Amino acid sequence: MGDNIRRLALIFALLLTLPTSLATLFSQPQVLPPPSRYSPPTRRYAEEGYDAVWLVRVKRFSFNGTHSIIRVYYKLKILTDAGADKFFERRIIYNRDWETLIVNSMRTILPNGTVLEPPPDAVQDLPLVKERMYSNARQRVYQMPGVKVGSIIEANYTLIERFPIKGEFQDSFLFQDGIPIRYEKYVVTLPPNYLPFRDWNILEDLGVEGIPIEFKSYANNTYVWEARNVPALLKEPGRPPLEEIVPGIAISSIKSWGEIAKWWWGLVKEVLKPSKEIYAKALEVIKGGRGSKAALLYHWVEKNIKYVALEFGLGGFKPYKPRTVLRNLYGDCKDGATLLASMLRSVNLSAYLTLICSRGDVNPEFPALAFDHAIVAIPLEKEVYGSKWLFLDTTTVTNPYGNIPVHDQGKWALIVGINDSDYLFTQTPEYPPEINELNVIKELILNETGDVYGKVVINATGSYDWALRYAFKMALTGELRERFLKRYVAAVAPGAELISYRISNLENYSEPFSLIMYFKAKSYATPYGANSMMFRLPLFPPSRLAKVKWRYYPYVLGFPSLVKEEGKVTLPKGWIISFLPRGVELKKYWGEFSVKYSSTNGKVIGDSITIIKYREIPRWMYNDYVEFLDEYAKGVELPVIITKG
Amino acid sequence: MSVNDLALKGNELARYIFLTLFLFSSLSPATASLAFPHSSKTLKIAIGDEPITLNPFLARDVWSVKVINLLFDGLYDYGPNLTYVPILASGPPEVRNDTLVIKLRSGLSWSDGSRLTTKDVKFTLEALKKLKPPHLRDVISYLKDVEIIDDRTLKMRVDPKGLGLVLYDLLTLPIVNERQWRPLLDEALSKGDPLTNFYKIWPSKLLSSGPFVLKSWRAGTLVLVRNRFYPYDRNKGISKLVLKVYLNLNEALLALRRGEVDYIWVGLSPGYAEVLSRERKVKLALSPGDKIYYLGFNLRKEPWSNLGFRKALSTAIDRGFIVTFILKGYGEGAYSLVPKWNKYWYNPNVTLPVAKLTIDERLTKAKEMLIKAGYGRGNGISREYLMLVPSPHSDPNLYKIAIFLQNTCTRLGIKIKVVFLPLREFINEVFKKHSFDLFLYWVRAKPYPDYLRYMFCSNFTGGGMTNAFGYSNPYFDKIASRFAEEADLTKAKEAVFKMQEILTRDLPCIPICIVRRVEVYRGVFTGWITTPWGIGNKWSFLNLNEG
Repeated sequence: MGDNIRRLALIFALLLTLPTSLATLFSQPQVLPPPSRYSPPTRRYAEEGYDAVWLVRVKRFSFNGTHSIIRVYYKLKILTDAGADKFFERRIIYNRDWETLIVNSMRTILPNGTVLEPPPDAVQDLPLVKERMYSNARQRVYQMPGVKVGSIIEANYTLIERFPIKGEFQDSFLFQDGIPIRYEKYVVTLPPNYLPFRDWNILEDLGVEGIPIEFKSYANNTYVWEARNVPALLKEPGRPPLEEIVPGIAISSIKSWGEIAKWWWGLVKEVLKPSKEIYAKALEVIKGGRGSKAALLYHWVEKNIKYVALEFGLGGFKPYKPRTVLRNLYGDCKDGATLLASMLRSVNLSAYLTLICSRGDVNPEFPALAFDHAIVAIPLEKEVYGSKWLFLDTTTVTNPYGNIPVHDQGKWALIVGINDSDYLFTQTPEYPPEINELNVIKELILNETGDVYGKVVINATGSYDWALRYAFKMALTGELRERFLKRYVAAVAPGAELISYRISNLENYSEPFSLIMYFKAKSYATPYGANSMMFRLPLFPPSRLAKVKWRYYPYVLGFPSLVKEEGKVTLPKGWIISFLPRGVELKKYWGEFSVKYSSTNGKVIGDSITIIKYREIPRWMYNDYVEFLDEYAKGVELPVIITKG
Repeated sequence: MSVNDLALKGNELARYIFLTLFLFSSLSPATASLAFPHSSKTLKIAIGDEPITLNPFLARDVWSVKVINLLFDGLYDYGPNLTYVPILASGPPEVRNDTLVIKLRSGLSWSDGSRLTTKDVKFTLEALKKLKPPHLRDVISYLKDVEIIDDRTLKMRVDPKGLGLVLYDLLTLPIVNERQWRPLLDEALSKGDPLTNFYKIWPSKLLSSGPFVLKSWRAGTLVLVRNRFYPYDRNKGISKLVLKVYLNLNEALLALRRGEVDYIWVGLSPGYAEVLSRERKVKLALSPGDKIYYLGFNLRKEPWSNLGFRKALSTAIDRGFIVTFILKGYGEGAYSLVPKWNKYWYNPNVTLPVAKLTIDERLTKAKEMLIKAGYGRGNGISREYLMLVPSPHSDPNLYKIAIFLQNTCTRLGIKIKVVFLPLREFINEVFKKHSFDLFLYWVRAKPYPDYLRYMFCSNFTGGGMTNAFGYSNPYFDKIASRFAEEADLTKAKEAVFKMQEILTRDLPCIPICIVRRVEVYRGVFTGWITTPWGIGNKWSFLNLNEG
């Protein structure tokens, strides 16, 4: 949505769904971490391979009724040369629109006790530049002097912040990091009349590992959370994003989702009203177009509005006027969403602006300004996959109408301005695997010398359609495209030479994306004794994983999808099959895989179907998933042997 | 009321599942074992995790117990309206001094059609005596022996001190098939340490006496089908249950919206309930709830051993605030560990006289009480005390209540440090090591309130036992013993009323509130039966119909 909101969303990353997790309530005991992870404090972190350790991390948050004051203090001890190189440069991120930064001290304490402060030229205040995102976000960068093994970097700074919603506040603190933490503290001080759970809310999470957190409050309305000897996060393959697994505390004075809806509707209501220019453009787009008005307008906006975010001041939250966006042909998610909603409204279609969190999700129990993305919701007459709303994301560039991009699916969404004042907080639907279908047919004609002529046909729907169309339209252009396709056919048949290719419906978003490639390759089949040849059917095996003794975190599979692969080889005349692998059929909780082999009219055919049903699996299913991949791989890796009859 | 009045109570159940027709009619064995054809109605249920075991002798975790309750019946059970009704038994037991004579229903069968006889019942009870699972060690100790009179009649000799417990608790435990389980048990016993060896063992084709049979169990999905030989089956309700694990509540809700599941067998937290109550798509089922939160004290330590101190703290706690702002109205203040819905056992005279005060009035009064107890102005309470609380993963409400209670203590001048721990560590620290000053936890209220005895009797104060408070009151022990031995429900009720009064007076713990159970379901099926612990129960599953 915008840098400001995105930053808030990152801060609020811990608001993810862990507290509502069903599985963790009664997790299987056999996968609990070994106790040594929690046996502090005489640990030798360097010997355990850590480059640095947080000795102290303290964040103090206070609110005075209008401003939040955040004081940060930390001591970071360097344990290795790699650590010195990695951590000697320190950054403090802030936004000049909302925050004032006061750095009290930054210094290096050498192992012999000498204290060094960075010289003036080792301190820079620079814009925090991200591609196509411009705002008053800044970074104060310090090159800390003299940092070596045994040094301690000490920082002490203050941020004074004004929250976008007047009189409200929110903040958070994460208790785990990539390196171990010896001691950390989060302190919240509020005005005397602020009672917890009546005037402000608290969300607490011990994380996947269940880090013990201590809590105290004091008579001056100060609340303190502490943790000691917190182990570093593990780098497990397929680990969910940090915000889903780390322990943390979040606080917010926002009472309800309605409060956020009301605030944002106040910002966007007037902007959303269609102007003459918007109406004229909408008519122009619809005129002569094929398909529904909504589809035509959606495709026009996503194709034509280039993504760029100019977020200064309230611009992080308030969209530009649609006619400005129309003239510039650029904007960010909320600009695109507002333009589309305005165009839809101009031709008497219902359309509502909607906030969601595209990276992670908000927690329904904890109303907070934790959204990072704006989209459009249009009401449907009939339910589609459990929702009477269709959600349109205008930043996707190549997404077919009707498909919700995977990062927007299954998320809590705040639809604002219903009947001009109401709101709805609901979930966007999550589409089943068959909506995201990738269909690949690989057909080879084999001659007696083992060479092949081949054809690959790829058809895609749903998010595969979106991703492939995006890749070929926006990324794989010119020379890159051919290089990519050459690599692809070489993966089908080693040494293959691309003869030609054809892409269909690259611009016609209403029809599924399609790609056909023709190629030839030598020695696809290899001799196997006299008068016999051996080859593998052109089916791609999955990437395999290794089994583990302990698994700490859930494993991320991707998104619900269906991949159909057909590998077909036409045999030379007079050759017969002497060995055909047996098929495999696997049905598991997270999905299914089957491969069937058959022969007909001188052809060998392998049909494989892979269905992934869920985005993640619980950690106790991980080893079972590894076995699944092994079985799957075995199913497609066995060779076919043919003999001259 | 005596156990022989049970027949009358049992009739009330008939409204729900036509049970009574079978309980008290002379259904012939031939008719009873007739397998009914079923329609193909499938109820798809989202669950939070897989069962750890299907061994009814040793299962403790919530998902194992939920599934086991669908597969096995006991001799008796508590119906949806909390009445104690015969299930495998044909009627109430005959009580003669220290002997119980129980007659099985005629024509009982296992799910393969073989006969369920007194041999199975005797085997089950004797197996429990040999295994002595920790959670049943006390109650099983009162059972002396079991004698088979004939295929349908058996006699149990019971230690009179635990007659009530055996009758109203032990006899509700699931009965297993001797033929299937004896070889497994013998092998486990021969290996030593049977509690560990036997924990994850059960027969491959599990024979059921309950309404459902396990058809398949693949990682993450269990399929249960109706037991065609279940005596109370009338081809009503659903024919198949598919229980599927969902990683989190959001995923389960999405599946419910898509129609992949019909019901989520997990209680929602108040925040979710509040959000979902605005949506038409999702139907909420509200039940009174069986989870009572309480604040427990370590009475072995000062100042918690001081009654005046505990009373002051109890006075300061504003249950109304907790119910309104933390439970968002989905709960009720509690003054007894027997909930109000348990009408037969709940003593209505146990509310505190200060129930209607404002927060400031409470604090003022509590401070006065502290002074009277000798703890005024920080006197004797200068150190920091430790309150242990289970992780928000175990219960999303407790950490909020803990923060509120800690804050209340701070305002009273009592320094408390709260430590949030994963549930396993919490139980270890509180119930095994007793290394706490206070703890915040819950008790799941049962229809028969024997948990009051386990929680507060002085003979359960050892490490790893249920009286973590170290509460010891000979008078309470005496009344609790009377309750344990009482087969006459009227006299047992008098004892439970007295126990509640003593607990309200002595305050070894402070009951805080009971949280309502909120569940979500789709409107595809009708006939859900609400129990205090929700709509997911065998009574519902036997009664549901497509609506």
